[in-house]
Amino acid sequence: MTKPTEIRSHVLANLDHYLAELDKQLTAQGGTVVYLRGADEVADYLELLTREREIPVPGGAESLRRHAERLEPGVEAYLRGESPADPESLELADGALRISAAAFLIADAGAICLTGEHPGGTGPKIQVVVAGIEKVLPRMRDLAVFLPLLPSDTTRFLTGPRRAGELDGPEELCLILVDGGRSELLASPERRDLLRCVRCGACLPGRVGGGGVDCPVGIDTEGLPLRLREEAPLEVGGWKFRLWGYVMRKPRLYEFAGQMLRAFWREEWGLPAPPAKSFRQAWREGKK
Amino acid sequence: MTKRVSLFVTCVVDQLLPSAGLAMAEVLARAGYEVEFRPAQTCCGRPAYEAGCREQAQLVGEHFLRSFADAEYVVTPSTACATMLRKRLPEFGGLAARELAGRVWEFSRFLVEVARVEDVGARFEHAAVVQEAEGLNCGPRLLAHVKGLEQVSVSDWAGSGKLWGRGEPVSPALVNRIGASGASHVIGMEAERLLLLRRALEKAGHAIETVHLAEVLASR
Amino acid sequence: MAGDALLESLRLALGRKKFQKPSTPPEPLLVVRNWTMEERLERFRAAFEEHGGALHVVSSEQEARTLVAELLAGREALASGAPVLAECGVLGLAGVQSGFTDPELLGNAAQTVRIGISSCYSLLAESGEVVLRFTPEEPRCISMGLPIWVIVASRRKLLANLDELLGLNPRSFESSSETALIAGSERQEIHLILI
Ligand code: SF4
Repeated sequence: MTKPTEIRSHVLANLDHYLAELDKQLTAQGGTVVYLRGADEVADYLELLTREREIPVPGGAESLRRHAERLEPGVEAYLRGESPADPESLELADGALRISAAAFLIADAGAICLTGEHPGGTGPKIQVVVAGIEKVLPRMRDLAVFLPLLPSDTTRFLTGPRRAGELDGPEELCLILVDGGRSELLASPERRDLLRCVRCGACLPGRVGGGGVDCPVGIDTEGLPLRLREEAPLEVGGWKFRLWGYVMRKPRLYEFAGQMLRAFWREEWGLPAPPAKSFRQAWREGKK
Repeated sequence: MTKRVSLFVTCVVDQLLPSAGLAMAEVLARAGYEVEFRPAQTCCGRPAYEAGCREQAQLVGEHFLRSFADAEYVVTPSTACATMLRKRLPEFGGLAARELAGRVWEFSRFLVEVARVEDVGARFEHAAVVQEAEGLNCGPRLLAHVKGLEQVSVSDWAGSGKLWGRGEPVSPALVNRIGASGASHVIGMEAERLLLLRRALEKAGHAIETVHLAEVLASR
Repeated sequence: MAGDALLESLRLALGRKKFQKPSTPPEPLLVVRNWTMEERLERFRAAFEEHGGALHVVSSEQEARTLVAELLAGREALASGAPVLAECGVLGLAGVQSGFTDPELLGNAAQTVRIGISSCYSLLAESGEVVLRFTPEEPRCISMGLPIWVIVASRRKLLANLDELLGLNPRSFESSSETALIAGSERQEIHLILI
């Protein structure tokens, strides 16, 4: 096993620990950490943020949505070759807000690593970074083996908003951690290794060095399309479906959960006003 | 002797689109059936099945079996759920499961093939886009007899949304085509796709109402 | 989505308990190069020039000052608060503005001036990268925000490689809001004066 493979496997096996450490560090350094489920929620979040701060968005909410999808296509889409390797960051209203994608997150330093992004003038007022939860590395020194995989003319480590006395730099730094189906991959022993991917692009056809053989983190890139295409294995969904299955076999519990479920569905899909009463309630009342 | 049908409203209609379930019950009653609702029912198991979680899908499928074992007909407003039950129940249980699977009907198909009515006497005076029917759905045949309904066609229903399994959002292009069609309503054959479309239309700011096939057939 | 809920679902997926410490992570091997100063300089020059930077090696602070004056050629410049600039007497050159403490004044000055003079945190010989650490003395807009960037630094800043930088004091990154590794830039003309 190569070093990068070993370290990535270790991170994934202890992902909750390293995310918690990162969160604690970055928060202590003045950053904000937000957890979201997927691109949809990222778009909603950005929409809210821009509205709240009165930052005009050319192209409106739709363009934020498209950008969120580019930043967070999910790890599978990337491996299928369906997403750009280096999503462009988006800058709004002359530096009022910049939305970027992270290359790595470093737990011990509470640092966000961006590649290929020139900090430019004084930097944005609000810097938002979107990152999949799998991007964490334990320590700054791990970069000695990982940075060479992502060569870039500008590599930046953001460790918080501007400090007291600093004359420029973002006044706010917000890290958005996105699940985007990763927790399900994580729960599947056969597919967890896909999350080791660091998006170096070596395996993608048409890229320099492409060829599908020498993935630095030991992902079987030859068999990859197959593994992505195959119907999701049993383990997918794991405990969530076990809980779901339990509730669905207990009509009373199901009905009780109904109210909450409707609220949950509204959140999940952004459904407008779910009905106040379920069918079964309405039916019962109608039959009286 | 009046025949009896047992509603399987599906979890989506139960929780999110009860009006479709009530309308379905009304149409079936008008067609001369005694309609019952068994409160033990929950879901057909499709969300788990499509996510690849067969084990839980089977357990929920077995619950469905217990809830409806002695039902004469099980009628449901969802083509996808009906298909799921017809195809998968036999895998999950023995002889009883196989027999029950054959008695599960999607609502529109039940009307046309079992009840043998196509004109349910509905009146719906609106210009409406009719969502593309899936599988053996007989919605279009039933709608052809609805008085006052002006059907507006929208070409190409690609990307009309999918909820379970990998999921798939409604394509913005489709939403725009519907928005520009001049229709005041969209008639859906499938609750979950209808809800996804409703959300997409609202988000895009189109003031178009979405109604389920059963609701159109129940209106007078 | 609350962070706790996500972390809890990860723990369930991984079969871990809250507060359970992970085993010691595998150590990355840091590559140690025992290069002499001459070797470092050689390698740095090659890599830095490859990225399009211009390297000027001088032997005294006086020489550095003269060279900066030549590069400015009478034009205005903004200088950071890096001690080495004061030591060289760069701050006393005509047309050089420095001593900023107000973000707005600095921002306004950066709108009109085209040259920035700063120092750097370190230099990486193997990759030819300049390491910047943004601090109250070294703001972003003076180093990276202007079309022409003049860096003045002591050769003590020259490290062998990234591994050496990371091995030095891994926690030093947290002391400022940002650290950047720059390997040339298409937007800027970069001059490095190494004393
Ligand atoms: S080679 Fe490996 S790490 Fe690099 S993009 Fe492909 S799968 Fe990811």
